[in-house]
Amino acid sequence: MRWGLLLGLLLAYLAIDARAVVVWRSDLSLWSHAAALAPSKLRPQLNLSKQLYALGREEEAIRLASRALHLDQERRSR
Amino acid sequence: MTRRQHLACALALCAALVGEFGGHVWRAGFVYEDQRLLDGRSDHVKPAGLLRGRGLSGQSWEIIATPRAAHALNLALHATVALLLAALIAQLSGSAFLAWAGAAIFALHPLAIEGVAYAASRAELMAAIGVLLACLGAAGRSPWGWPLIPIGAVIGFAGKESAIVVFGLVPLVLMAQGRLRAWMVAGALLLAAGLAGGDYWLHGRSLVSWAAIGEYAGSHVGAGEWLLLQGAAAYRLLILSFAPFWLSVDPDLALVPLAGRAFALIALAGLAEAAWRLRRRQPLIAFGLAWSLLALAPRLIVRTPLAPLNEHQWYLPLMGIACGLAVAIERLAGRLSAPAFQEIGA
Repeated sequence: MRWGLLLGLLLAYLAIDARAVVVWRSDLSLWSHAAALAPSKLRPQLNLSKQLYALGREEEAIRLASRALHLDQERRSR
Repeated sequence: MTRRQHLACALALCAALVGEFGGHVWRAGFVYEDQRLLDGRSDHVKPAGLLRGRGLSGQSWEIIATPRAAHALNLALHATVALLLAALIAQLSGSAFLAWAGAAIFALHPLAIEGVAYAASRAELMAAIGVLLACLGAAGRSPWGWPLIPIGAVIGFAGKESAIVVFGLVPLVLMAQGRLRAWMVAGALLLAAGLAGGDYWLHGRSLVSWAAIGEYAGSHVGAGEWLLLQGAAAYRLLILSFAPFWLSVDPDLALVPLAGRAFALIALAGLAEAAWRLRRRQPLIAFGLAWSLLALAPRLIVRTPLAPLNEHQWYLPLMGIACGLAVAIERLAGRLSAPAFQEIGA
């Protein structure tokens, strides 16, 4: 019984791990994930913007960075 | 359990880790602060560099510079940590199930992913190996184990300064076995003073300066404010230890209101109280809780304003949680196989 329960827990972990490990594959996947979870935090947004810029998606990168800076300014003024 | 069964468990654990991280080792690149560590390379190992802070982990970047080799090394270090943890739990509990369950829960726990998948976390893994070696040295009842304590402490420090928790965890191991004596505490304090003195002599760093090790001009944060922020970060990681669904390299802790931060600190204090109360009735759960809190304690004092407690820094505290979860599974299995439950099942 105890080995069965343990196996069940470990299989559940492996299912979560399979999705979580992929996030660490590149800076783009890492910061896309972090930025989605913290939409108003400056660092993940700026790091994602940097990655997009490096990929040649300049317009998207600039839009994201200016939105992040605006949100951060708003947050600091509160 | 026979020796062959232990070997089978070790192999199964390593195989599960390779299955989990094999694709990452093969395909992943460097991310985040890996590049900063690569930029500091000079392409040859400098023996004098080993004496600097994080000497072992720092010098390892001189040899291992490709993403595949770096990720493979992290995976090997993580597997070593898991096997050492199994050995430590076996020493403390005398139960093969608890040893392998604790090690497997720790090794495959989603919160351990950042420590393994992020190459720059290598330092944390090396520190963990040193800490576990020191604890194993203390847990073994042979006098030959004692030299392992300073050796482990030095290896841990050469990996990362977070190995400082060894001065709390080794006495905890001895206490869990009812073997802690006053002279041992004095010995640990002397060793700590010796290392602090050595650190001052080598790097000109005083003990007080450690409290602000990650600070620089413009990044100051008060001790109270820092305690509240780290309390909230630790509470988040504690919740994620049981429900690991919202992992992130950079969570937005500023959203946690002051009341939430204060509650988190009170909850952590409550866990310390629970560990103390459970020490006789549930010694291994109490040990796991105390391990997690002691491994966390320096992070509540040392201020690193740009990086509140993150998932790879939860690597050592997670071991205590894994130990507690293994005991919880055993208890649950015991209850489910009790006659009353079997009748309901029929």
